[in-house]
Amino acid sequence: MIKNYFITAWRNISRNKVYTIINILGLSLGVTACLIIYLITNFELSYDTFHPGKERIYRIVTYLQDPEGRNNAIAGAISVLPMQVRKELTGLENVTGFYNYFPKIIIPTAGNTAKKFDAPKEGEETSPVVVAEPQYFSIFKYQWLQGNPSTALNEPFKVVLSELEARKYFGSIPLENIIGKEVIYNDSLRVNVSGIVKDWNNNTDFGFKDFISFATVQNSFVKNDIDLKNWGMWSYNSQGFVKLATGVTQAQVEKQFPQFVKLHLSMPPGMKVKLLLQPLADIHFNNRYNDAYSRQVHLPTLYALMAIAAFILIIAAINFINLSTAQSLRRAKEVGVRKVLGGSKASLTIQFLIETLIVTIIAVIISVIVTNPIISSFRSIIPKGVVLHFFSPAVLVFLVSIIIITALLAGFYPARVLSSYLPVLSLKGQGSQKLNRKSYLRKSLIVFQFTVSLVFIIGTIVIANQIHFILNKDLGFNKDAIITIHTDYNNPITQLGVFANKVKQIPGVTLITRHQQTPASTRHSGTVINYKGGGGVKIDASFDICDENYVPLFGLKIIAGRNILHSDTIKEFLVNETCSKALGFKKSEDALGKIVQVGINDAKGPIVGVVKDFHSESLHAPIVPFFMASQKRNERGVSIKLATQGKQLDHFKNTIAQIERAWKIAYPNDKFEYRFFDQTIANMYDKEQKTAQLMNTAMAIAIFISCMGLFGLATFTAQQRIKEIGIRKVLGASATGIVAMLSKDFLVLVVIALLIASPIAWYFMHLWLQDFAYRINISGWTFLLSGSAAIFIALLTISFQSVKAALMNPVKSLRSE
Amino acid sequence: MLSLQHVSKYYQAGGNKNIVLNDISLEIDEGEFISIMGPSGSGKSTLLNVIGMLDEPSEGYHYFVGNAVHQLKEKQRSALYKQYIGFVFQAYHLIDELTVYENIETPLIYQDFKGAERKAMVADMLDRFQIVGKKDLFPAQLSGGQQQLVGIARALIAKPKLLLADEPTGNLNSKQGMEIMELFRKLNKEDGVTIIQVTHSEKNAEYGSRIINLLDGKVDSSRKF
Ligand SMILES: Nc1ncnc2c1ncn2[C@@H]1O[C@H](COP(=O)(O)OP(=O)(O)OP(=O)(O)O)[C@@H](O)[C@H]1O
Ligand SMILES: [Mg+2]
Repeated sequence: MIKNYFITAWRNISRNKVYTIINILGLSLGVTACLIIYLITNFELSYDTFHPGKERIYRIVTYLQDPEGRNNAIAGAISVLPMQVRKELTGLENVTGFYNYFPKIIIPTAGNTAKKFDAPKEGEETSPVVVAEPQYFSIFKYQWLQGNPSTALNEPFKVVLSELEARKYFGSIPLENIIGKEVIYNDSLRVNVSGIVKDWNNNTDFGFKDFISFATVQNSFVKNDIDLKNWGMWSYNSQGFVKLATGVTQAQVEKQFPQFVKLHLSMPPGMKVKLLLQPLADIHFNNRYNDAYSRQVHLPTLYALMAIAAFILIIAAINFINLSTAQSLRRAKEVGVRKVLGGSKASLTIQFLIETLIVTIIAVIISVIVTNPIISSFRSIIPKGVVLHFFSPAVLVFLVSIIIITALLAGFYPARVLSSYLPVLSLKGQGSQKLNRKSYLRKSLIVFQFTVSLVFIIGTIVIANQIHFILNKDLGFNKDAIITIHTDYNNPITQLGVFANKVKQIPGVTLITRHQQTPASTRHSGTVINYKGGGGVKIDASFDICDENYVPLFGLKIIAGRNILHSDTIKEFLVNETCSKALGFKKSEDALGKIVQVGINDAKGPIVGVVKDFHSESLHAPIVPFFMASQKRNERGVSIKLATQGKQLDHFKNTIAQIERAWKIAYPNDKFEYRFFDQTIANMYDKEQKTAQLMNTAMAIAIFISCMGLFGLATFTAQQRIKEIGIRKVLGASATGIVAMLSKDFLVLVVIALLIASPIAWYFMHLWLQDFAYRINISGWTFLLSGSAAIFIALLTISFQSVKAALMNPVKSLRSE
Repeated sequence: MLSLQHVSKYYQAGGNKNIVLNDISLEIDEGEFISIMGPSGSGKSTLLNVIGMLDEPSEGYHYFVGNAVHQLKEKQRSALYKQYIGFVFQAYHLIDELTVYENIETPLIYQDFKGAERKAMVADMLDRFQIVGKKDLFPAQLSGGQQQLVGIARALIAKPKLLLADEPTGNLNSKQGMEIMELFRKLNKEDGVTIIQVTHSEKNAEYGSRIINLLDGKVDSSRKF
């Protein structure tokens, strides 16, 4: 019996090759999308879920409120804070402080070639090195391969390594021989290995590998980095974690904070501090708190991804439903005969479900094969660590449920409908006529498919337009042919002079400027400007520290006054129009010569010039008050304008090679790393570029699946009406007339889909655009264009079949009936 | 064996009732061989479908081997059908996706015969209808007459007690037609199979023991031999 089911199912599947290919391709795309998004979701949601007692682990975080009522969330703490919390608060099983540290690492070896590892770039990369209190290992549990968890970090100049890190440093010698070996951090911090722990296999934000003992701080130069005396310094790299005692609630501990704050923190008037506990499970998802090690996932994005996956799977299943109900005419007869021969309703339903099941299983097999390659080709939007392990129980359960859900979703309706008529009705094809008359179901499903596709099309166009807009908007400065290099703060500032002088002599270099940041940067610092005259105003402003070449090199326009002069300390200011207005000057000229004081060491001086407004931040934010001043020792970066005549790329390469040679002379120990300024600006919109890529992919898949469905239906309609077409041709209908007749019905559906999709897409894209201070308007053209694109694609899909039908020799089609 | 009492069948067409069977009462005993005749559109196929439980009458009572069919659930009806009835269709109704062999085999599968048994029975049938050479072909590869033969073979394979045949010889040449009629007669006489056939041919009708003439959905005349 079952064998018979499979035989017929297989015959049906292989006989209707077009439909089968459409169904399998569509479903495998849908399943692949679902599978990948499932893997991503699973991956992200599994972060730090493996720690024993994880629901009792919290991070101490801070809310600072300034006098204007602005909140500032800080994930870090004051360095001494955790120790004090341990002493004074109750209800805590454990408290630990740890500090992210970004050192160079040297492993001395017996020979004279020491192993060296570059320092991770602070602010860009995570560092495996932390300075941790011994309590760290009471909160975060490891399997200890060497050493004793309770004593390993008790003394100064000790380090605990993870097994992989130990192997990386010392190779494959026995672990017990690694104990006692020396590791040198930042050239002179010599510590000995006192323990080795097994690396965690699970997903975690706490992937630290070098745990330097906290006692080291007091006894070494590290005390300059980790300040244990100062209660006024919030550091991003200082972290405090607590584990509550069993039965104690978060609120019970937080209740003790106000008193604690009063005791230790004396804040300037108007400033308020609030300490809070952040649950461990929140760290991976809450992007209000920034730290130096964890990666945050945007939950709404994750939900959007899930929705996209679901939609893609649904439109693939719709193809299935549409194509099988369309074919029901032919299948109905088979159903009738089978009933007459003794087939029960249940057995027929099973038979149809087996057919869907076979197709679904094939589709799932294809997805499983292609998933990993697809994941690796989308590495830029899929986090590292997401891979398909076919034999993991979670994946198997997911795949089996996908198979069952899809098979039911796609197969149940046609199966039920087909098997539920009186045999004689099915035999006469009447049941299926009823089904075909009910083609409004099929039509609404097509409308649904095209609505989804159109929402994606419109979204893609809007996002592409906005990205084009922000990348091409006049930002108020030049960004072409400029490279930027940042130097290490540990080098004497005089070296920069040496380097700059050498670079100036390179023929391909037009100009060089020294500065802290570039005109557009995500990392401008902020301070206050105080203008005492004319009633007095105090405003917040961003600033950059730079020399006199900054303005000409970046092409900033001075609209009043003059450029600043290069100086060792801040003496004079160049402000932007917004700043000048905010300070209360109606005309830019009014600002000239006015003395202002800024929050940087209370430096005071006149405004000597006003520049035309430019975008000092990404276009997400409006233009803010901004000033420039000169202070040699803080100008640690350089930007170099390259000459742009001749063959650009070769020319640039040549010039950059010469700059590198100059660098090697000035900074023999440092790596030469440069960035093109326009690239730096493009990188500010990394998230948007990823969204665009995601939308493109979703759009392509949605359109592809929908069109395949449409193609299948068009094929079916053409076949079904082949006799009618033949007769019409004999009666004198033209080929174009027939193509129009066959296409008209489908096009109406696409137009309806456009009407439904437009407001939905408008709503979502409008929301998305709110994130930009400078944004495009969504014009009616977007919708017209999307609609035309969809109609064009649909027409192309349908016409393939309808033209074929229209051109067919009528005698042939009539005879074949 | 079966009895129809005041059976009517009508279709609603717009506002009109289109009466196809009009108050038909009929008793059929086991072992009878009945031929139903009548002009096209007189309701012969409809009557046969009702008897075979493929269609439901709009009104009336229907008894079959002691069961009140009009009160049975679909499942029970289907079980009853499986046990007793073989049906030959006017339009063959072979399953396009199955070969000749598999078409003939299908009723046996639904009736849970064992594989070896099925093989023997199908081989026997193929032999009897001289279509062994065609067993692996699909219906679309057969002529109308050959499809008809497969349809008859399929109806007989499960050894039904009641054979319903809607113009079983319509597409056969007269020699083949005669052979089928001889076969029916043999089944009727030797195996005691009750047969009801619809036919347009006076000659074939005379193989039966009773001829029922239908006209406009009514029994016009009925004669026994
Ligand atoms: N589904 C239906 N809807 C409406 N009328 C129907 C339907 N099925 C059959 N009829 C009508 O019932 C009448 C009897 O049909 P039936 O098929 O029983 O005729 P028949 O006697 O077998 O004719 P033939 O000798 O041509 O096979 C016809 O007039 C037909 O139009
Ligand atoms: Mg008939």
